[in-house]
Amino acid sequence: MRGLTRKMSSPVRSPFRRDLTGLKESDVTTYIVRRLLQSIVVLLLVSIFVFLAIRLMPGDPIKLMVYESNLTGLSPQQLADLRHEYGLDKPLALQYLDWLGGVLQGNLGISVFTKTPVAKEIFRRLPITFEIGLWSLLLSIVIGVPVGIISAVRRGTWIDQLVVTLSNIGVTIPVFWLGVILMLVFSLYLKWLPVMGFTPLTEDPGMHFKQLVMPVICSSLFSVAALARQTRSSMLEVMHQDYIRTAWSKGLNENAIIFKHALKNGLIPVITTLGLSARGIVGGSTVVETVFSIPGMGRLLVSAVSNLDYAYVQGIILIIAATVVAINVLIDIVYGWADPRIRYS
Amino acid sequence: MSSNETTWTDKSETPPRASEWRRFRRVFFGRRVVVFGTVIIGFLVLMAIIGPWIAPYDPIKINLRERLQDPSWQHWLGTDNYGRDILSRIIYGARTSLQIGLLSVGLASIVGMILGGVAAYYGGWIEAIIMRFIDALMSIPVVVLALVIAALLGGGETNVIIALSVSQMPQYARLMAGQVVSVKENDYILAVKSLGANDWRILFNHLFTNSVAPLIVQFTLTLGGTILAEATLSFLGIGIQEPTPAWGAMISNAREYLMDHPLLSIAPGVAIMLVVFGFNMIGDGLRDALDPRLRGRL
Amino acid sequence: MAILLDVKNLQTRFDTEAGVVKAVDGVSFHINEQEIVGFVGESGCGKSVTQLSVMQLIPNPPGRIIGGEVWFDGKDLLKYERNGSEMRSVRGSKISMIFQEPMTSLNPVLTISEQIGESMQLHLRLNKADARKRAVELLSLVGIPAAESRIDDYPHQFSGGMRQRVMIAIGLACNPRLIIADEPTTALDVTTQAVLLELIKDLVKRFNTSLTLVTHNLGVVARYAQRIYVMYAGRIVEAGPTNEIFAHPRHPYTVGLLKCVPRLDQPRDKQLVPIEGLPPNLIKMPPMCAFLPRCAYRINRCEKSHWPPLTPVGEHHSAACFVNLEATLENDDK
Repeated sequence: MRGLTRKMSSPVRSPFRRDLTGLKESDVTTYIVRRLLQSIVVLLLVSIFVFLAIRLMPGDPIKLMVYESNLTGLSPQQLADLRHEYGLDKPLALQYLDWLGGVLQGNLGISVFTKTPVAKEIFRRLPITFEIGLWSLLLSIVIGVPVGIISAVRRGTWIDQLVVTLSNIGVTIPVFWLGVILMLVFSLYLKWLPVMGFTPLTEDPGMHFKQLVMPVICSSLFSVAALARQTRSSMLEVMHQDYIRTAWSKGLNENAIIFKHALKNGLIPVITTLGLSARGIVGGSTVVETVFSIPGMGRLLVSAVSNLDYAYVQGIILIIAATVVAINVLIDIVYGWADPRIRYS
Repeated sequence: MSSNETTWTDKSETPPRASEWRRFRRVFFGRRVVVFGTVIIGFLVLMAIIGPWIAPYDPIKINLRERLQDPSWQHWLGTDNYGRDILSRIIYGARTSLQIGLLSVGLASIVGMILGGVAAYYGGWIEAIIMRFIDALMSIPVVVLALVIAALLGGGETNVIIALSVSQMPQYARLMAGQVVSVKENDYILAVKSLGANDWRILFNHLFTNSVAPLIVQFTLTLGGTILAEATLSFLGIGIQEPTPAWGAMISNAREYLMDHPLLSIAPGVAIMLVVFGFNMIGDGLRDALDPRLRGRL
Repeated sequence: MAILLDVKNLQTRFDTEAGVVKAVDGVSFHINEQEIVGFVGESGCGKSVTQLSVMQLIPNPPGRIIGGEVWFDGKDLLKYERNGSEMRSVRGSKISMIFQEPMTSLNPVLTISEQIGESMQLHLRLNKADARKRAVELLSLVGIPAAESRIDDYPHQFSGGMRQRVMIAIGLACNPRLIIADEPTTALDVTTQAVLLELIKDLVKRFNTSLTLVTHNLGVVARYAQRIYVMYAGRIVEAGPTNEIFAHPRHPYTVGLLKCVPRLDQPRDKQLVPIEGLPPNLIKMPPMCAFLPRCAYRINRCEKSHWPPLTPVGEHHSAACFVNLEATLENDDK
């Protein structure tokens, strides 16, 4: 450093000080609290929709129940009693408040079919769905992101071509169909994996994981492909930015450019895709659990929807919406952590 | 030195329309997969139109004497458990898929654009209400939302269309809201407005020129997704009901015979994949050809 | 004065959809030790691409350097592999660059400390703490007040002018022999421009560094550069000492440039004259002089000959033109 240290003592003074406007660091907690409040509003809206949508639908749950259970001999008085028992004779707003009050205390209502509390059954099944979802999300990140990076860095090579082709195909495969095909190949022909079903971890760990292999592959397929695509395209975009040229002009090598300068910028849009993927995995649980006969929340929703078991439908949708909203808040926090421009504004 | 600024004449030559069209064609057809996708979709549309004339059999009529036949010259893809020709059902299924896809995406885009446009144009509490409503819809996964709505409405083609369009609508509302906000914040618009121009006309002009490209791309890309969602609903037994030929329902129905007649499950799945792939590729191609800036955003 | 950088017959091409662009077409120039040299020309004349080619920073594809020599420290830099270790050991350490866009040339997700410090960690083998300490020193050197408290901020927390100061600090970090400033102040407002150019000039003088100043602003070169290269359509059309070129321009393009610069030594009512016409399309270049269609002084020979070579017209002064411009201009004035 020729002469630098010696002359450092007298800094060149700028006559202009007006470009001295640094932004002040705002409180990160305020940001999170604001996001949480917004989320609560969204959840309340969802609860109103769910409640109204189901109450305003054609078809009376009591009549339906009577019809379903062949109790056609009930008198009008008995019907009215049933209505009263389930609180269906009160004004709509009151019914909603009753229901919401219950929800806040963990009471999601009682199924008119099974006569059992909905919450208990949902929370019994929830861990199963969450386990599959978490494995799927993990698999998507572990495969999708690195594959996307490699593809972008080796742009135009056969690896890139392969990744692009596979991920283009990956986002088009119907999940339920993939499940059927996997079953056909790995269970029926090769007999490597059990066809379907679910065994709790405590009962038989080996069987537990064997039965999870195909469901996890199915539910992560779309997000693996989507994450690879997004990672690739945002890395390619970042590699053309001016600050990457600046980094090259400093004499850094390719690894430093990619991993220090490009990756952190390139992964910011990927975080959004990750949030969408998580939402997709939650939604996909309905299909995957149906295909593989897994007693999770998704399959419960499908059967509740087919039976028009309102209490279950309401409860499950509320849980799903809460999960998605929680994921979004988490994503926003990660976003703020990754991108200082958001953190400080 | 500030006094001796040198200025240059700016080159602002607008390319003629014809060359723009040529550029579009070159970029769009420049990628082989896009051409492949276009061929697939062309074929799908053809099937949907002339299907009834070329399908070898009635897709609905039950013929138990010919049930579960293997592929043969009479039945290229075999028959299902009701003796119905699989090829014919796939050909008719193209019509179902395309019809439901187009109608639901059309409905979704119109409603979504109106909601998003109104929200962003008026701002304030109108925007707050509409956008929170959109947020709430988006907090429910597409499949779940469509599933619940379709089931509550009672299944069937019309209700599936309504369900699918409600679940696709939020994307269009967001897209439109973004466009309107960008118009409102545009300096040029403020300038013209201050001269007393009719702001509705400006809004429409600007929106038309700026939103066409992203909308066409979005439309194509959601078509694939919607067809996939429709197949999923039908597979779960909530969507299109028997005996109407629908690819998703065909797979659901074929599962029982998976071991001995895998083609029953495979064939409709391949049809779904090809169509979704086709729409996605056309969407990608349109995006690159119309507006490369959309890359990574749509 | 010893020659620091000697560029010979540099040729850079860009492959575009419409055809091959000859962005730099046989450019030769040199930079002496401790000298400030200006490169002037319109947007797209190849002045920036020339500098990026020296550093082998042309994005490939679409760009490629197809010929020429870049002699620096007794080595031809173009012989080095584009992003190989030898080329990288020159970048940022012996030659550094300051780019045009301060808003986009800094990495938004890294702190200022990291961005100034990393080339010192790399080239000077400083550890993280020392690099940070030097970064603070550099930051106050480029005139950022309270450098110690700003060093861990992110680029978006700085204004455009401040960011360009950070870029200057990055450029100075390893005390390079040559700094290439590519339109360093174009994106800034006029007052900030003046302040930053003064700062760059002072620092370059203090560190005995040479400076290549790329700009489309003749006023800037007049004030700071000792020598000028005027570029047009990928070639150098005139070269010489600043005073000489301002007093006796020998290329019609330079004359045109000077005519649209307001001057204090001329009556106020004298009109500024813009250069008529558009810069040439670099893809379909006819073999003749590229300035021909816009030239007010063209003669018969121009339309029949290939592009005129750069020929001496005085001591250290050369121009690429067939016309004896001095005589023509004198006649005009009469």
